[in-house]
Amino acid sequence: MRFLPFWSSPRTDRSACRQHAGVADQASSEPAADFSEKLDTLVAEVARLGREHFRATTLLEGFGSHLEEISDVQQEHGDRQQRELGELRRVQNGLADEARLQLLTELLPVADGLRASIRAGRDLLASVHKAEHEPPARRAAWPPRWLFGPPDPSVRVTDHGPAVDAWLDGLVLIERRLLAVFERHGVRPVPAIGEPFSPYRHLAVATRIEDAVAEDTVVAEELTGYAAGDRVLRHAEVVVARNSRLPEPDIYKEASRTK
Amino acid sequence: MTPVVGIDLGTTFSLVASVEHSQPRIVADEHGERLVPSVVGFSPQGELLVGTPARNQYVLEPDNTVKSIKRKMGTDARLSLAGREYSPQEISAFILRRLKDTAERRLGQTVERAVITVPAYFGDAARQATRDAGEIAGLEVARIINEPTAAALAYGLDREADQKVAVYDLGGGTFDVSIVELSQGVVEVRASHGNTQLGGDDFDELIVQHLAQGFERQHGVDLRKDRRSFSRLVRAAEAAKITLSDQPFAHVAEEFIARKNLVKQLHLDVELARHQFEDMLRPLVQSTLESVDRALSDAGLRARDLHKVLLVGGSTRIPLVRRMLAEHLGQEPQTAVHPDEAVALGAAIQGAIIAGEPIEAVLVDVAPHSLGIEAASLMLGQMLTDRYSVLIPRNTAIPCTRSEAYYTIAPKQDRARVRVYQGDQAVASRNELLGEFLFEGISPDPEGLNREVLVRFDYDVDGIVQVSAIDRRSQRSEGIKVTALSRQRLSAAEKAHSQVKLASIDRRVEREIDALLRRSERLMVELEAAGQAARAEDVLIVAGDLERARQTHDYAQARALMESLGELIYSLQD
Repeated sequence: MRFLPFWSSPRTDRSACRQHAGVADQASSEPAADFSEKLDTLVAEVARLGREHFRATTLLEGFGSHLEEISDVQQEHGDRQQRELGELRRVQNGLADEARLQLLTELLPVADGLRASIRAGRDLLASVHKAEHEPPARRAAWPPRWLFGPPDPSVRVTDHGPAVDAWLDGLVLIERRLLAVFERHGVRPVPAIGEPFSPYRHLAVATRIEDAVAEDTVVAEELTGYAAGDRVLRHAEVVVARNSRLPEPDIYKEASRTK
Repeated sequence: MTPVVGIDLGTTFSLVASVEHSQPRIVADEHGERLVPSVVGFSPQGELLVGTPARNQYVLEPDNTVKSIKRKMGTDARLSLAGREYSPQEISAFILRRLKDTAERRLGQTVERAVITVPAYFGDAARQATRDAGEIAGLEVARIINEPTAAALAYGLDREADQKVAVYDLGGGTFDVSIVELSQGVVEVRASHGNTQLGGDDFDELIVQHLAQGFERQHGVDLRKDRRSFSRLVRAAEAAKITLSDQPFAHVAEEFIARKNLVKQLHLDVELARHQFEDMLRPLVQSTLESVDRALSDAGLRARDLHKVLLVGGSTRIPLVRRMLAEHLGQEPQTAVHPDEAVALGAAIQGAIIAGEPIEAVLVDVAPHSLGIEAASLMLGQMLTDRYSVLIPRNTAIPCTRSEAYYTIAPKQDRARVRVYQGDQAVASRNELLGEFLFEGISPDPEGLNREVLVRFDYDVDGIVQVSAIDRRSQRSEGIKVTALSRQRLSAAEKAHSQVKLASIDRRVEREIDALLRRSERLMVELEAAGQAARAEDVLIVAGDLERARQTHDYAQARALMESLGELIYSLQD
């Protein structure tokens, strides 16, 4: 824009200048004999310069609008870059969260194993305790030895019951430690037993006839589910109560309609 | 401009994809799930459930839950759910509406149009039913395209030279192979053949049976009898299958999976070798090859007429499938695009083409050359040395990890040289040597057999490959890092095109032409306004010639025309 004044009216300026120079040259050599011829030359010269000027202004105009376009495009690019940068940051944060949840999800079977081992240890203690403390006659009758075979001789924990118990308590503490790590990252076990079945958090693996609780109540958990807020990492696998007397279809529908 | 999304309406899973910033992408739902189970149901309270929640309640409400509705598309089947009758179209519409919602949430705008894929073998009735389903879901179905066609689009083949390709699609529950012909950007399915009851679930089942039989032999307990043990077994089998795609052995460990005599805890703790799995699998894969032959003969082609073989469906990750197919057809199949997502991505690309949006080829980082090591092999009792054993075939999507088992040539050999090569020559030394190291102290085999060494390649996105040799007995490992040749994007043609465009824009003369044309346009308007239409016509003719000369890149002609147009405008001015 700064050079605009220079181009603004060169036609008159320049031609005037040339004209002046030409007149000076011609005036010294010859008088007005070929004046009209010279005038023609000058007119032609003025026309040539005029065309040149025209081309220059056309080009300048073109450049001007081109510049405008470029600045528009640049603006657009800048805006888009800004938007994409924001998007990228968002995606980056999302990916970091995603990676964290993925790792925690892969650790879930470790928590399962720990829980299973604790349960197995408790079962073992309980069954040995039962075997030791129940009258022999009853023990012979149930469980029948011929069906289940003799107890494994390697299993002899009765003398060390309290010691084994304490050892199991240690495992419980390890489990708690692991769950605390999950908790710190916002991952918690999905509540299951006693809850009404929710297809968004529970995966039904079986039903059980149970009249003590309402229909569709979770009565057993076969695999603990975990969730981070609303995001379920793993559905809890559950057994769901079915009442022995199924409601009449009509009533059933009536109930669902009123809900 | 409203987007046209792409939908892969599958038998077991469905996906939705869209093109954003010229890139086709799968749209994940609010839980980050990309695959939506194709299951629809009603809860006892009458609430409509689609996808995972519907699957979760299947055991409770089998009569109010529908799976695999795709198999019924185009039939007159009526399904009764929660006391109401539904057609297959209406059930599919529930799934489509869910995908539409997911796409709208992600894109932040309404989605009204979609491209939906169907198997090549779908008849007119099934196609019409799919179209109806889309409309019931509130989508204008911009086009119904064949799944193999979508796969070809995902691989960007419509921008390449005319060719014939085979699309081998082995999913969770169905298999089909199609012969596709691409001609001037038009994709046509020439023949298709398959088995609608074969897929990855059958492979899992083989592993389940194998593991259960082994466990029963060892412990006398049948894991298939207890629901809880069984479901853990199924999960473990699937995980083992996935592991075996990258590694020669899978360790299957499920602690406390059963009890014996009420007291003794039993653990499943076995190793499954890839070759064991492959032995079980071979007959099933063989049957798919027969379908390939049928499709080829229906299309009137021979294997060598195929320019490319594309793999679609998760089960094509199994190395045996790739190997048998490669041997059968005499060429390495293409695996760069994610096999579960290729169809949906291709549908999104078709959608973007319809919407007139710019698209780039699917961006996939692939290994540009095969990577492997030197190994000896036995052939007809002869030991052949300097053979090239490939761990990562060319065009494998990276990052990736692959490992293979190797043996020492002699039982007493306690060291092995690992030479890492890059290239595709069968003779190892004809490839480019990237690095080598000597692995020493390999522990002896307890039975005095040849010692076993695992070789593992970890290829990262920057082209750095960590090569490790692992003593299988002691698990001791050693390795080196090598740099593979530069990676490449899937389509180089795209880049070349932009470069040409850029170069032409940069030309000075283009700017001058622009300026002149703009000026003449303004002049024409002025002349018209002044009632000098004839003169405006003169300008238009010369300007038109100039525009044409520019488009044909005839710059000599353009210069001459610029001269005369300049004269003309000048003379008409004032």
